[in-house]
Amino acid sequence: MEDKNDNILNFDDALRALDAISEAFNVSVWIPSKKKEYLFKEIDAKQQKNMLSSAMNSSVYNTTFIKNLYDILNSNFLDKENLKDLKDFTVYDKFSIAIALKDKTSEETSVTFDEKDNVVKKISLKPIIERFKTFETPENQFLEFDNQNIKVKLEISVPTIGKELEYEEQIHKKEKKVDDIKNNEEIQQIISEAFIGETTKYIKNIYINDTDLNFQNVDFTKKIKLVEKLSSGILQKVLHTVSEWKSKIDTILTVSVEENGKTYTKVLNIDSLLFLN
Amino acid sequence: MTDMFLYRTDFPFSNKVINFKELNTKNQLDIEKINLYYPQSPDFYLDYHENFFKIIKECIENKEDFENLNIIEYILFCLKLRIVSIGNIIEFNMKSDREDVDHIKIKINLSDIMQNLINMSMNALEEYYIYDEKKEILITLGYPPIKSVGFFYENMLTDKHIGEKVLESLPFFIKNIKIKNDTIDFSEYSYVERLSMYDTFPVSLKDKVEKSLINCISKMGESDIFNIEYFKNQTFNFYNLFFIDFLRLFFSQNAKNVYEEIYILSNFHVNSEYVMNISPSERKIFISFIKAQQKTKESNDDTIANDMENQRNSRAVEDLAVEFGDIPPN
Repeated sequence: MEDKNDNILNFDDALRALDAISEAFNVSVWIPSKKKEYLFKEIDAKQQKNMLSSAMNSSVYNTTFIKNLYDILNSNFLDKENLKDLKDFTVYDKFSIAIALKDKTSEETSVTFDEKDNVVKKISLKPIIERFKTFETPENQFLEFDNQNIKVKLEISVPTIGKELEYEEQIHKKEKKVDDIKNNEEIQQIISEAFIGETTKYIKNIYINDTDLNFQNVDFTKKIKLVEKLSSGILQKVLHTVSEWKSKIDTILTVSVEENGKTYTKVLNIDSLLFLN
Repeated sequence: MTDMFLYRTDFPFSNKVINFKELNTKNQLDIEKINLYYPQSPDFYLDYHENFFKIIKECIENKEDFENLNIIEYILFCLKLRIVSIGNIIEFNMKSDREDVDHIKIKINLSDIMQNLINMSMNALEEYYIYDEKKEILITLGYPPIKSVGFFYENMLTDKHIGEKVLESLPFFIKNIKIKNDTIDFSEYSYVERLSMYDTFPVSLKDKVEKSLINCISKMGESDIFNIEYFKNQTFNFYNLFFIDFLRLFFSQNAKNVYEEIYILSNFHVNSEYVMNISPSERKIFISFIKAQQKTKESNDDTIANDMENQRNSRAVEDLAVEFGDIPPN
């Protein structure tokens, strides 16, 4: 099949040519927060391998996957003219992108609906992609609290992918492996830190008596210290809002199958295993 | 003496034509030396292969083309060289698994194995080309080159799962990629370079390549190129480098016999330098002449001895007849 007129490429040019051709393998993804589609390059073999290695990572945190997916979004984003939009993409937009990228690489995904009953089925991700087009990204909400003449106002928003990465890089710098956990106290501490951390990610700003605490511009270590000072009542309200938002996105990500007259449902996890099944 | 490369053979995958001459006595002795020196153990496969390859290369005129054959073609060539230089039948005794029989005699026709290997490799790699018309990209697949034996050796010695070993080896199964009018010739590149290029493949494209190659590797594993009960568990596989052991077996001769033949020929005034340059088949012809000559000589010697004996017997009968006043018989 070789033609005498063919130009034989050297290694660097070969890599460039392969990189260029990989842009032809692309997918248009609906970004709910922007209400429009953006073009992404399909994930490549190296990126898939990185996903595999993050799936093998026994860390109690999901940092490696979050970093890997963030890197993929950055390098595979083909709408160079709208590059500035990328940093504003929310974590829910990220779910839409992950599902679309996965769908592009294989038409069906294997999902374990019930480990006990061993219900494992291959499903199409197309319905989820369609549902994302109807998903309304939650608007920022302001929660106000008055206590002994101190007015606390919190602005709650869906975290951007940039903020999520920032959190992982600042808070989970030191990797903690499952094997490192020695007792129940440590487990409780991890859960408690995760709870505060997750809540902090959703708090965009804090005002005390209308004074802006410049919450957005401090690092996560300081943010967490500030959030820990908030009363449990305030945190409960934040958590309530976040839970409502999460249940909306879970509806989009829910898949179901019928097996032996029984309906099994599952909320798809957006993690490294998604890219390997 | 100028080397004459009188034989030529072409190959099914690379379309290369290799000009070669027979293996000579010296090459055969060199092979025997490495057979004796390197234990028949996977740890020594690479050392053995490298030395064996060096010896075989001495029989090739266009060495560069030879170095660029794939492993299947290399085995086919070695079998061809064995047939031309030594013969196509190989017989050996193997220890029997049965309690009632100590050894069994196995006879292999190397021409049959060559044909089986060609059929197996042709059938296994059904999809040579992965083509995406829309994106104007054409990937040509092929069997790993001889140069990859070092990689497969290292790969074999790792503790990795066979699935992982297979996936890691796939860049060696890509021959070239054509993108519009540009061609990327993978044979030019090292494993690391091949891997860097393979890693840039979009997953949907990589999956097509992977599917085709895994199918090929599985089919190879299911095929029986020997068609002999004793070897029924020996399937073709790049991941255990089994072919190194089999080449060793096919070229194995008793060194003592070879030296004995050289000694006999020297005794019959055949120049030893000449003997070292002839093929094992030619050497056998000379030996057969000597045997025939010796047989004739022995036969002549027997006739003379018989005549003398007969003559001696006749004289005795005559003497006896005369003594008894009788007429001796004619």
